[in-house]
Amino acid sequence: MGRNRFVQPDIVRLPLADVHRNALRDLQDSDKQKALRPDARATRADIELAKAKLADAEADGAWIDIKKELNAGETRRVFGRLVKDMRAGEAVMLEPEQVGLTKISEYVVGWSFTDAAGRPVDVSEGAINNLDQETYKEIADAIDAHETKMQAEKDARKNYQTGTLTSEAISVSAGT
Amino acid sequence: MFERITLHGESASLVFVYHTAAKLTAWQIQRAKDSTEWTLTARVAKSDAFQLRQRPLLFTAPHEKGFWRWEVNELHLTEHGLRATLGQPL
Repeated sequence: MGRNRFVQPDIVRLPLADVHRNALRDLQDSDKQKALRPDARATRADIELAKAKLADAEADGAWIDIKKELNAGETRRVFGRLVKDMRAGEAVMLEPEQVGLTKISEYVVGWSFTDAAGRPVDVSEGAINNLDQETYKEIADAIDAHETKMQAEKDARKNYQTGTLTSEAISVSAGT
Repeated sequence: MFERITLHGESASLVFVYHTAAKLTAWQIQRAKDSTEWTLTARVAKSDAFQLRQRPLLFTAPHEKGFWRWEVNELHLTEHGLRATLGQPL
């Protein structure tokens, strides 16, 4: 039987505190900091601020539920709504209002957010547009980090499979 | 004691995890007194043939304080809509 080529609709819960944990780790990563221009490197004050943001986010406990993986149709919708104009040999023109929104709209299926009266708010494009900018950025960053992690896992699987095939091919030829 | 329970509404959905497999209108659910089975009939406004084949499918319909949810046991598409047998409400 061939591999299943359909995306299984799994849901992943992402604590928004992880966004701040990653940001703090980047600020404390000496290799990453050395790669930056001296004036762009993190100061002690930047690190203290990032620690405070992480503590706030942990106390808040907010999370989002997202699709583990977008299927072909969802991925096309993200791209299709984002691109304003695309011509061969020219830079792609993006729709500025859609940057981030198309991806968030396709990925997010649930969240812990409530309204001013404490009532749960359903995920919708209207609700996303009414978020404060900090939350919007937290969600976008959380999804970007998730995509990076998923891609790394895919690459690792591909490398493993390639490595296995190569090893098998070598061992077969060595035995003949 | 009741002879038959009937719930009905104007809009509902069949969902597979987070995918909408079908948008339903004019839905009705009935359960007879001596039966444990609920029967759904509805008109289909929009459907996705691929998602309708997935399991578990859930029937969900909004009410004042949230959503009713039933697992779909069997599903039959008819010329005018669909007919399904449902498990117990979740």
